[in-house]
Amino acid sequence: MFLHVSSVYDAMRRQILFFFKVLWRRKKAFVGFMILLIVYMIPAVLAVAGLIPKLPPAKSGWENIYAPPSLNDFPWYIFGTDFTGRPLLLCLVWGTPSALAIAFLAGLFTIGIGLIIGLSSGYIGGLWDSIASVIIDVALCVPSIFLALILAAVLPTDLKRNPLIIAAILSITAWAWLARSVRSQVLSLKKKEVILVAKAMGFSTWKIIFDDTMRFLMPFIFMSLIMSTVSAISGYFGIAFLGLFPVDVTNWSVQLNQAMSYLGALGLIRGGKAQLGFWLPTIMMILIQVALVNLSEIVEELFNPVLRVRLIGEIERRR
Amino acid sequence: MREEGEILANNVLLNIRRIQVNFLKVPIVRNIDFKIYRKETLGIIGESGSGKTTLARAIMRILPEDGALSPDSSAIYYGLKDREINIFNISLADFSRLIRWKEISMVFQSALSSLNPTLKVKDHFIETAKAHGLSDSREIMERAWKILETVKLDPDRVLRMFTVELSGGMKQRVVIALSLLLNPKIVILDEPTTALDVLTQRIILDLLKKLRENFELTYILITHDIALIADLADRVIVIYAGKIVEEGNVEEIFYNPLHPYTKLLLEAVPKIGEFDKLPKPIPGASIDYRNLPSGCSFHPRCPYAGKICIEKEPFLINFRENRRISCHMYTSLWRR
Amino acid sequence: MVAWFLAITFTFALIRLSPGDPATILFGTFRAQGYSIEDAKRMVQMYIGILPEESVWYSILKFFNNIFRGDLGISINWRIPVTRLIGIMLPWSIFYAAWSLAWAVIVGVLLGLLMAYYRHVAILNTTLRVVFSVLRSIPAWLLAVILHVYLAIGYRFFPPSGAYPGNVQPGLSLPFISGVLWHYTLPVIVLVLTAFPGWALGMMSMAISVLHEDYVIYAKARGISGRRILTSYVARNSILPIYTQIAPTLATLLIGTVWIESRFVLPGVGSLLATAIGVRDYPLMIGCYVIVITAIVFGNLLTDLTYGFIDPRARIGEET
Repeated sequence: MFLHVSSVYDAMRRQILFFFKVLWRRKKAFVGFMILLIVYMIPAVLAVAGLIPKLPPAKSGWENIYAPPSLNDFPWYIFGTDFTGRPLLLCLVWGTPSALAIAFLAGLFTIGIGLIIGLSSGYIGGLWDSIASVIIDVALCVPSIFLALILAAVLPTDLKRNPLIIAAILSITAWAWLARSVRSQVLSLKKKEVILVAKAMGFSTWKIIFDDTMRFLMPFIFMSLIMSTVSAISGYFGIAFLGLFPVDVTNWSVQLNQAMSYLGALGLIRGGKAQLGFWLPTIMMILIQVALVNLSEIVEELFNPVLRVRLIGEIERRR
Repeated sequence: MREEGEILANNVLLNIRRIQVNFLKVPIVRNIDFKIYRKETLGIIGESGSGKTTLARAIMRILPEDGALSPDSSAIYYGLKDREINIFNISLADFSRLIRWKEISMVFQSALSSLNPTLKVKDHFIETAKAHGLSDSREIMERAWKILETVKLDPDRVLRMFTVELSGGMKQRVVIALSLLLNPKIVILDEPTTALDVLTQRIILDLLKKLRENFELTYILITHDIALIADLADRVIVIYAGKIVEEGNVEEIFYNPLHPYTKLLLEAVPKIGEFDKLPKPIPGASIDYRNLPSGCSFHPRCPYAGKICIEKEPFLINFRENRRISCHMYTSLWRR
Repeated sequence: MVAWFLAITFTFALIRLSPGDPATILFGTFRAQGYSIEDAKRMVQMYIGILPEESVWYSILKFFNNIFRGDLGISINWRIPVTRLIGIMLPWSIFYAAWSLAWAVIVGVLLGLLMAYYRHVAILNTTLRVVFSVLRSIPAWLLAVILHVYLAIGYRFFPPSGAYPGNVQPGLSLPFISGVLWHYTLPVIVLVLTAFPGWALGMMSMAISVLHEDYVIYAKARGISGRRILTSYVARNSILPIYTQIAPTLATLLIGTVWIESRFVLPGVGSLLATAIGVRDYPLMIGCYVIVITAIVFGNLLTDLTYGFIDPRARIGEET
């Protein structure tokens, strides 16, 4: 069993090294990756490690709500305060770890379930395949966000505090597309004569199918991971915006919602009081998507044979 | 094979003085030159990747975006009544208008995927004609009708069909018919029979001969199929790694090949009656244009290679009329 | 068909089995409001059509039974049958989604074709790519919020709410129709902006691969003009897989309407669902859900059936 694990590990390692070479070649993706790292991952790690000050208590009073930027207690008041009088930047940074965690968890769930169902359904075949195919078709019909919305409305609050549950809800039918692709790939491999030959040589069928499928689908899986993370983020904040998740000031969507009310209802557009409170969460939400989408474009370039050849040519010529 | 005197006495129709094609700075077709005489069939033989198709595309000026014809390439066409033209010098628009498809047309290697799957056969004829200024659809259809009959297709049926409904042989014939639509003088045939089964190959071959007579065509036949060359060609050029290594008329090439590559090619084909002998493949790997061997590009695979072959590239020597050879060993070993 | 059936069954079962089961909760709510057990049960029955203590399978059967009789329960909020409510609102949503889809597809496909044909023009490519990157990263609801707050409320370029101006009577009159179109302009822009980049990029990559196909090179050899190549060769051959994308895009747009319709206060299933969620109006929620899923499945079915009409290859069978 560990024989094929090592070969997959090797393949993955080579792919990752190659990935970094590609990043260097395509500056845009490099920037995207750096953004992800600096703006999101490092603050998240810092927050979890406790290296960031805790949120101060809420302050009331008109002058404390959406106060303009100041240099107090650098750097947390650099964007002013939010609707509870707390430093805006600090609130948002505290929201980073849970946002990232939920997003990546949802992504992992998606490709995890997708792979398991797809691989098993293609390999085992028979009754399980028939059942699984039907399940996949059904899941394909129901868009994930939609069901997530309904579920978020229906489930009790306690359950919804758990990030695992949230991630599960967000990815509830998102795995279907990957499962279907993996399944058809496995099925087409099963038919190939390579299997018979390798079997005659003594390799286990499972090892061949797994290795081949993974090698072929690796970029595809990366793509799915990134894209499902993107849609999970979008879904999470969308549903949070409607108030369906138990969230607090650290959640970017909540900040946005409140700022929107201030801006819209109280006609503060020209006043500019809540502008920062509106735009900063917005930018946080959009920027992470942009970074991820950029990364996915690079993966796409690797995936698409026509573009890939050109890219590899450029890399090799540099050497 | 036809009378040597009959062919060579005719004029030169296309004089390719120099063609050099680079793909992203890598030379693929390296400084090739040859002449094409009226009503002859010139066979160009070489293995996959030797640059034959690129050569054809260069002449038709349909190189892909990565390919570049070097600016000093020149080819003079003498087929126009009033003047001679360097087909590489004129603008693409003029070339399209005067030469392409009207004087020189092409039958593609992949006839099976050359036709638009979403169009009917007659649409292909109409659009080709319209692109060259013929707007009377009735006249176009009449001509298409006649040509399709000549290639032994039922015009009534075929014109109305979608291209996906045609069999391989039928598609090949449609493509041949399309190439004749504007009465060209030269037709470039790029692997016209390779993708077909043996019986259909025979039919197409006979068809090509008949068309050649009926329409007084000049063929440039590009293929790796030696039997086809033997059957159809009058003269032969052997290409390796983007260069001409041997040229001669078809009997000389077959009965007295001079270049080691030509010899090996001929030996690689099993002959009828010798079925107890194993076919001999040519040793070595195929060409990598970015890392060409030093000196003569063929030396790693050549059984006669000597020290000079590794050091210097041989010249292309024209030692008789239309008989050329590019090999060091020839000059020292096999002088007749 | 089976998929539709199972999708709804699955969702229903999930909801019933979850701790958030509406029947149980409603029952509890009514009881807390002081109704007797009998009365509470009867009310739950009236609103949703199931009783809290019934088994999951039984209630599913009942639910489907009701659906086929056209009964989706009674809205708790409005106290009228869900079907009637949805019936009023559905045409608006269909109009909105379809109208946006049409624009998104047209703009996307044309842009994609142009991007493919001019793929060597560096400036065009880089700017468009940047724009697309950003557009793909902004979720529909967020875009709606941004545009609504700034363009409709802040600067009043567009009407902030309603499907038509307040002083116009509904009916087939020109003021009404133009009023509707004007009021829907910004919402349509939002949906189109979210949807068209995907279409453009998909069309572009499809078109580029078609441009490398043999038959395109052969057409160029025959002297076919660039314009004809774009229309008869590239467009025709690229459309085919793109056609299958229409149904899923419609599904996504339909779901996006939940946020957008509520933001712009437009009538439609989306805003209905949003309000239902807000007040925990379970029958209405589930009813909307069923309708949307039905629409999605129907769309997929339609695509499959009509694909043969578009692609001659599917009609005739692949040539081996």
